[in-house]
Amino acid sequence: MWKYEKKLEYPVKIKNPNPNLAKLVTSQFGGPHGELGASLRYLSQRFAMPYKEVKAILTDIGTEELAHMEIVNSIIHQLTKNLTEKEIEASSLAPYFMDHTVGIYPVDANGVPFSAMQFASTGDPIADLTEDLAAEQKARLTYDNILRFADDPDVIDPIRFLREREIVHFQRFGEALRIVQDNLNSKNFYAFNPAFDKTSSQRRDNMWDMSNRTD
Amino acid sequence: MDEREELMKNLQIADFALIDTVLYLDTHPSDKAALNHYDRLKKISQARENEYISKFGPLNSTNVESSDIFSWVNNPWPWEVDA
Repeated sequence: MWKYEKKLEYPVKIKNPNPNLAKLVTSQFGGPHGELGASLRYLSQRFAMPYKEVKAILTDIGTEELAHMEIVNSIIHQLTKNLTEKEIEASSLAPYFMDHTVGIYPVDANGVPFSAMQFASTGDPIADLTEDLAAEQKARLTYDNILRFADDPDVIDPIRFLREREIVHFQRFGEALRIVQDNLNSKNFYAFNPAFDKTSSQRRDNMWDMSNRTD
Repeated sequence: MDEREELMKNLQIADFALIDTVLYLDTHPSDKAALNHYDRLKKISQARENEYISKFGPLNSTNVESSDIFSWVNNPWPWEVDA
């Protein structure tokens, strides 16, 4: 279960609204590399994970991503506070405003709603962790792209924090993938799926078990 | 920065160090130096949380000190500009 703590992981205190920047930052809530997909990805994948260290890292990074979603949403909320109708109409946020006013809703930078198709949970530890490594890099590059357009230090500061966390998570997932591989046959990591097959001989299609190959 | 913000920031610093150490320990669960670091940070975080709660109210809905009002509901919430 989870317990809510009435605090942000990193402070957000934005003085000046900016609807155009808010529309871009929204992608890190509901977009393809956003924090909603990140948290759902890791918190879903952990059920198929056989190894204790990796169950722990998926749980704890998945939980931290929920805190990052809260930071991103706080940034969007504060960037859209106290705007006038004229300011909204003149900004790129006007189409979003039609359906959501300045409420928080998971969409990407083009306004396309969040979809579970944006992440994978394959039931295969190697495939899942390889996806997770890519996901952290994609989140990192999106924060890099936000930083290209952000000129408000109140926004740049928490975005930099979130960007750095992607790099740390990438490191931890690299170690997690190594832990998975250390538990498998070093001659063939793909001989069987440790989240499903009991042993390599139980896999019906044994053609990929190359442990007996001589070449 | 008022006193509440300052105590909150100090708590955020301690808790962030703890969060980061936990991720390291997940993939290095028998690293003695990291375990010592974790113990030290846990004490700092607990002390800062107690100080914050005693002055500015609960951070968790299940540790509200009984009084005439359920102070958990009080503003500011974390996403608010004044937070």
